[in-house]
Formats: sequence, C-alpha cells, structure tokens
Amino acid sequence: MLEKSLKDLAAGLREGAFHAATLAEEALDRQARFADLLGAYKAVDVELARAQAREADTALASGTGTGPLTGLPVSVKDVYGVRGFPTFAGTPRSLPAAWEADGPLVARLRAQAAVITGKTHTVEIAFGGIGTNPHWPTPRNPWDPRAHRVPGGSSSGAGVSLAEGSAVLAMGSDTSGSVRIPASMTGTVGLKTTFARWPVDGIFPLSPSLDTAGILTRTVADAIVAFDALDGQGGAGAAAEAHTDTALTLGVPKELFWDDCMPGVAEGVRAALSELEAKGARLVPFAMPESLEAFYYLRLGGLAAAEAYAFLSNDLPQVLESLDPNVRQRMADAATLPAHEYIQRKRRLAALGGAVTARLAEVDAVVTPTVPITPPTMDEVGTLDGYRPKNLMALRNTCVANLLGLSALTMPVALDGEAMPVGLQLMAAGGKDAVLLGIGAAAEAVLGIGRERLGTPPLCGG
Amino acid sequence: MDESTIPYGSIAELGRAYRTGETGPVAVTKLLLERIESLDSRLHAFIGVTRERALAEAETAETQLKGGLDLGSLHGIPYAAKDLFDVRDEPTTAGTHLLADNIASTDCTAVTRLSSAGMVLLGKTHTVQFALGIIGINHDQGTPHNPWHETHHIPGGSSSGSAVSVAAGMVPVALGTDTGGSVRTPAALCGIVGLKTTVGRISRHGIYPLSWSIDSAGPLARTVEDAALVYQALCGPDAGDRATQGVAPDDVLRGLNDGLKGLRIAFGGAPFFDDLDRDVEAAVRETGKVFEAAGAQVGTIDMPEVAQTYADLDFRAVVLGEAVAINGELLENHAEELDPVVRDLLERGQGMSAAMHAAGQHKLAAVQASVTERLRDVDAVIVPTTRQPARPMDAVDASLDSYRRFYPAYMGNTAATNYLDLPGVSLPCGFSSEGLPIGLQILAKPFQEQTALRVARAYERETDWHTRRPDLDWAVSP
Repeated sequence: MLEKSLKDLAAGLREGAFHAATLAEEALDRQARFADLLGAYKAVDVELARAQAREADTALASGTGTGPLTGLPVSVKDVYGVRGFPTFAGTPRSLPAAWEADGPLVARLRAQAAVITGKTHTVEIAFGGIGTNPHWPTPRNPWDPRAHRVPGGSSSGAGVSLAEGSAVLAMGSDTSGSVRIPASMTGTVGLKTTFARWPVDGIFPLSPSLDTAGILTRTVADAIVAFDALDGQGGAGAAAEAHTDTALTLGVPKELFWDDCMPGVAEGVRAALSELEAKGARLVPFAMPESLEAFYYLRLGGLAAAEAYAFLSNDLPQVLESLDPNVRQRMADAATLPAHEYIQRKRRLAALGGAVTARLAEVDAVVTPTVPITPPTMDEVGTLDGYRPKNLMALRNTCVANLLGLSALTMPVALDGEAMPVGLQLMAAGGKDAVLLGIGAAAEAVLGIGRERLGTPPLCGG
Repeated sequence: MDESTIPYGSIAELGRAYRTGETGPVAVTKLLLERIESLDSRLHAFIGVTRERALAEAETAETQLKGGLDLGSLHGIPYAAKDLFDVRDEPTTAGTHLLADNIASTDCTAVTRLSSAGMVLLGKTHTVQFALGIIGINHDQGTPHNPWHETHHIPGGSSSGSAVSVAAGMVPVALGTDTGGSVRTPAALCGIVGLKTTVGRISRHGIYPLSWSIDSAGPLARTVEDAALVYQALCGPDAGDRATQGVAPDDVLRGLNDGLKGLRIAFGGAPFFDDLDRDVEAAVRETGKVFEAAGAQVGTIDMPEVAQTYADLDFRAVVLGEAVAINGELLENHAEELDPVVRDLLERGQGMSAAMHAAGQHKLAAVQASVTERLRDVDAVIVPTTRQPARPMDAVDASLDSYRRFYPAYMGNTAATNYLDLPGVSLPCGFSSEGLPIGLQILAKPFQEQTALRVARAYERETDWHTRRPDLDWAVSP
C-alpha cells in the first residue's frame, strides 16, 4: 500500500479504503525488516507509532484535526526534538530534555495527525555531508548490494527510510547540503527550503545563520503535497499546475558544478536535460562565478564551524567535549578566525547572493548535478585522508545554495558508472520554493519518477 | 521673535513665527549661520557649514510657505547632521582626515527625509573617529568644546558636535547616532535632549556604520517635543535598511502630552547607580518625586541583563568585530594616522574571534528577549544617563589610561541598553555644583519610543532645567 503517492494514500484514508493503522503496520514491518541490513533509524517506538495511527484513524473518522499528512508514516531526523524520544543529534549521549520538545514543524505534523515512525540517524551534530558517524552505525546505501556505501549526510537515515518503505516523508535539515546529498545518493527527492522560511526552533543547531529545515520524499509530486501541508503559505500545488507545459528556461552554469564529476554523473544529468530540451525546455548558459567564491568560503571553513563552536562552548560544553576529535579540532580552528574576517565573509556572501538573485530572474531555474561523486564505500572514507576530500566534494555543489541564500531541489535522474543514483539539482532565488517545486513537477512529468527511471534499490527489492 | 530669542527658539515657536510673517526661514538661517561663524572657532561643533545649500533650502521653504505650500511643522527649520551622515557633494569623513576625499554622491535616507519635510541643513558636525568613543575627544579633527564651561570640558560623544551645536543655539536640532550611548551621553553632558531609537525605527542607509547589528540614529534637540517631531519624520521603512522593513508605523506625537497617569516607572538597580557623582545621584533621585507628584507609580527594578552584557566579552565582539570589518583597511594601512584612542579599541576588536562574534549575536537575541519579559510590568526605567557630569579635557585626556578610566562613567549606563535594544531619552534634570548639566535617562521597551518620549515630556513640563542656557560670552569671536 505504501508504494502509493501521498495524494493517493491520503485519498484512500479519507475514503476508508484502508486505515492509518494498516499503513503504520506496513511501515513498521518494513523498518523491522531492513533494520539490520540498512539501519536507517536511531530510534523506533512501535507502540508510539501505533498510538499515533489510532489517533489518525479517529481523526479521519470524525473528520476533524486532519490534513494532507494525516495517517502517513513520517520519519524525523534525530536533530529534531520529538516528544517521546530522546534526542542525540548524532552525539554519544542524549541531549538535555529541552531538546526533546516538539518544535513548530513537528507540531505541524502532529496537528494533522501524521504518524512519526521514529528518528533517523544523523551525522554528529549534522556536521558532514557523507553520512558517517563515529559513535553510531552508518545507514547503508540500499543501491549497492556488494559494498556498504554511504547514504549521504547529514540526514543519513532520511533517504534510506524512504527507500526501504518505512516512511513516505522524511524530515531533514540542510546547512550545506544535508537534505539534498542524502536524497541524491539514495535516489530520492530533497527540498532545501529558503533560509528562515520554516522555523528551526526545536532543531539542534549547527549554524544558526545557515540552518534550514527540509523534506525528503520519493517523488516531486509527493514533495509538493508535503510542502503545502507544512508551509504557512503553500502554493506548490498551484505552481505545479502552472508549470504543466515544459517550456522552461533552465540556466546551465559553466563554473564549478560540472568539474571533476565521477563517471556517469555529469553524463546522467546532461542526458536528463537533453530529454527536457527535446520536450521544449530551453537550456541557456548561466554565468555563476559567485559559486566559485561560495565554495571557496566553504573550503576555508570558518562559518558553520565557528557558529557551532560558539553555541556548544556556551550552551553545551559537554557535547563539545564528546565530539569526534577531528570535528572538534576543526571547530576550534574555525573559532579562532578573527571576528572581522567572519563578518566580512558573511557580508561578502550576502552581496554575492544578491547579485545571483538578481540574475536568476532571467531563468526558471539553474540546473546542475546535485553531488559530483559516487557515494563512497565505508572503506574509502574510513581514514581522515580518505574522508576529507570526499566530504568536500559531496558538499561542493549543494553548499552554494545555502551560502548564497537560494532555494534548491534535487530529483533522481540517472544511475552513475557504479549504478548509484544521480540527482539533478534545481536552484531558484530565495523564497521561490513553491515555484521550484512546480518546475520540478514539470521535469518529473517528462523524466518519470525515481522508481520508474532508476528502478528499485537492489537491497530493497521484493 | 528677534535676534535674541531665535537661536533658542523651539520648532513650534519658529514655525509660528514663519506663519505669522514675524520672521522667515531665510532670516533665521542667516542669523544662525552668523551665530555659527561667531561661536564655532571656540566651540568647534561644525566640521563643515553647508552655507549654499542652507540658503537655497531656506529660500525654497520661504517661497513655498509664502505661496501657501505648507509642508508641516518642520518646514523651514534648520538642522545639522553628524559627519557620518552622507550629504550630497560633501565629504563624509567619519572623524578622520583619511576620508577627506570620501565625497557622498547622494543624501542618506535620514537627510533625504528631513529635506522632504522642508528642513534646512546648515552643516555637518564633528564626531569621534568612526563614532568609536563615548568621551567626545577627536585627536585628529579637534574636540568640540562643551558650551557650559569656559575651560575646555569634554562634550561627550560620539555625536559631540551635534550636541554642542544644539546646546549653543546654533541649530534647534541635530542628527546623531547611538551605538553605545553616542546620542544620549553628549546630550546629557551638554544639557539637551537626545533620543536613542530602537534598531529598525530609523533607516541607517547612507550613514557611515560602526556596528551594523546595533547602530541606531536619532535626534538631539532642546525639547522633547522637538525631538519627537524630527523622530516622527525620520522613522519608517526604507529599502536601504533591511532592519526597518516590517516594523509597524509609529506615532509619537499622539499622546505626547498625555502625562503620567497610570504609568509605572522604576528606578533601575545596579550597576546604574554604582560609582555615581554625588550631584548626579541627588539630581536623579529627586526626579522620582517629580514623577510621583505627576501621577506615576514609582518603584525599582533590577535588570541583571545589564551586568551580563558587560561581563561577557562576546557582546563586545559584535560591535568591535563589525567596527574592524568596516575600518580594517584603514587600520591595516594607516594605523599611525588614526586617533590613538580609537586605534586602541579597533586593535582590541582585532583580537575578537568569529566564535565570540557568533556567540554574541546569539546572546543579543537572548538578552533582548529576556529583558522584554522582565519589563512586562514596567513602562519606563529611569537611571542617570552618565555617572559623572562633563570633566575637563585636561583630566580626561592626560593619557590613554586616564581616557580609558572614564569609559564606565560615560558609557556604563548607556551601552548595555544598545545591546538590549531599548529606546531611551536623555534630558536635563539638574546641574552639578560646577554648573555642568546632569542627564536623566528614560528607557522603555523595544519600539516604545512613544512611552519614553511621553514620560520625558511629562518630566519636562514639571521642571525648567531645559530652559537654562549656557553663558557663551567667552566663546564669541570679536
């Protein structure tokens, strides 16, 4: 049943064709079945999920307190406080109880009686794009039946929960790519909302000036339903209807994004773009020199790390102490950056963002590969020397949207040379989240949804 | 009105005289320009007099008023602007000769708004270099002279020239900026009214910044009503300053004279009353009786957030980090040419880290939320603006160390409220035994400029401190 789209699931529940309790059991079955093999979750509470499903069924029966997500199984990244669960945020010990309270986004899920299946794994304090964690197991990417490849991070369990079918919506967070990288690496859809569009209260902070909440879904159509259900303004459904024709103008940057892509990545994205072009999309060159500078500042590493250090050293020194020593060292290094340099970088990025935003009016979206590399195997990132370059490349194409204040979406379009998923990233100006989803829907109508285009992850077959 | 009353005329008095034909903007402008010429070689308030512009604006205002085009209470009223405010075709030096060629191509938003209201700009006033100093001393361009004493006493800063120009009757009102007390402290030391506004009330677009996070602009005037009139014209959203966007409009003129009935006023606790000059303490304590007699409830309130902002260097990392980000190039390449007392602060800023700045930003939000909650049952907090009256230049400026020792006296009661983002008015509440003014600071909750001004206006009605004038015979040039 859970293979159905969010729209069909909601309709079925409303019409009584099936019940939330049934969906919850199915999700819990899938979770249990893949727990050892894939390990998407940090914590699952079967009884809590069942209780929520009963509430959803009651709500559906009475017709009150329902919404587009009523009765639908949702996984939540373990940086969100969720009442009834401890929050670890990928650290070795559970955080103080204040971090267990529902924030506004979780409250929005609860208000429409969604069913929270559990909390998915995350990179330690969400600092890293690969998905590994020194304290807890790393979820396995379901697309490689031979080796344990990383699932992408920092929302490392989010994409896996969708692939295995234990959730139909996964809540993630994105500071430099932490929604889009796992979505791209697991063949799912990921939306990074515009900074400050969705409240991040109740989400363990990494970088208060860059943190955004986001969603992972199996299709763009699902992302539209979930976005409109969670967003104050919505409008993605309407935008999708407005973009039913595919006469899109898509800007293709020549800088940065296409360089050094691993075999099959750029090719896969270009093939998808050609298909869109054949259906009427116009591909135009889009100069984006700001992306080079944005990535330069990511490499310098003084922004998110300094903010995280500032927060942890003041509010949770015990968490700082328990961090992976390499991460702690990087934070301490960043924290000694002079204040004025940090301020100048932030101002420079704001100015660059303004410049890009002005030019983005010329196109519907900018298109790039989401992640230039094949998801590495655990062996490849087992050492610091192996991890660092992979992590930097994983973040390279996604960090641009965070640092320049854009909205961004990834959708699965191909398998690379290692038969691992490849994502197409679409970026638009800040605030254009709904429009971007509409454009994604138009592209999805041409390219097909991930399951049609990429097939089923080998480890999730049957 | 005549030559003797015009220099100290209020906006309302001048406006009435314009409309009865008793005098006009041109005559007033010429008279004040002459007064500046006669007094300013001693008082040193102005770095530049915009004579041509002043006469042109005055002519325009006069023609309009005669022709029946009345732009309202500010029409034809002269003013001055601190040398951080961009004025078209004039240099914005921000207190350093290094920026002598920094000619502004357009007026800043504040000046544009006052011009649109028909005001007449007489010139630009001295400031502490980069607005980074509370004492008012500028070793590069000279320190304005406090009008209340023939011996050179500090004027307070950083809006030093603006305060002196208003106190000496050169203009009825002048523009200043306040990041740690730079409107209120010089207003207090010069015996006039200064309004520090909440960030977001008045656009800072085109004003040379000190700290983007907490800079505020505000008027200095001789009466609360004059400050309110100019504030009202300055505030409102502006595309050039994001902080102003989405702020609800304000109307401080409505209710300005409503008095104190039902208002809850509280003396602030420590550290506002620490290490006070005896005269200051007596004068400020006395105000409680005035407020009570006028119908307010008077109590006390402790605001631990104040001490918190001083104890934690992360707050200073916000301001000093931003000051270095703005002026770092001059500091790198021209350190020897900067005012040593300012360079001292910038060099401290160079030692602040990104993590301190980021933590400071986080803590700013936290203390602002905390103090707003703490003030829930209080309308206004009253404290001394400064802990001492103005002291002689010789005593303060003997050395860098002696200069630093005076920071707490002149900034200790103001800087915290910039971190807390409280609006505040300073107005005269007495004079020291040496005849130097004492300032009372009235603080209100964020965006409650209306309350601060209303309370200040009520106090002004009950007292006559604001009617005292300095004897300036010693300052007149032959």
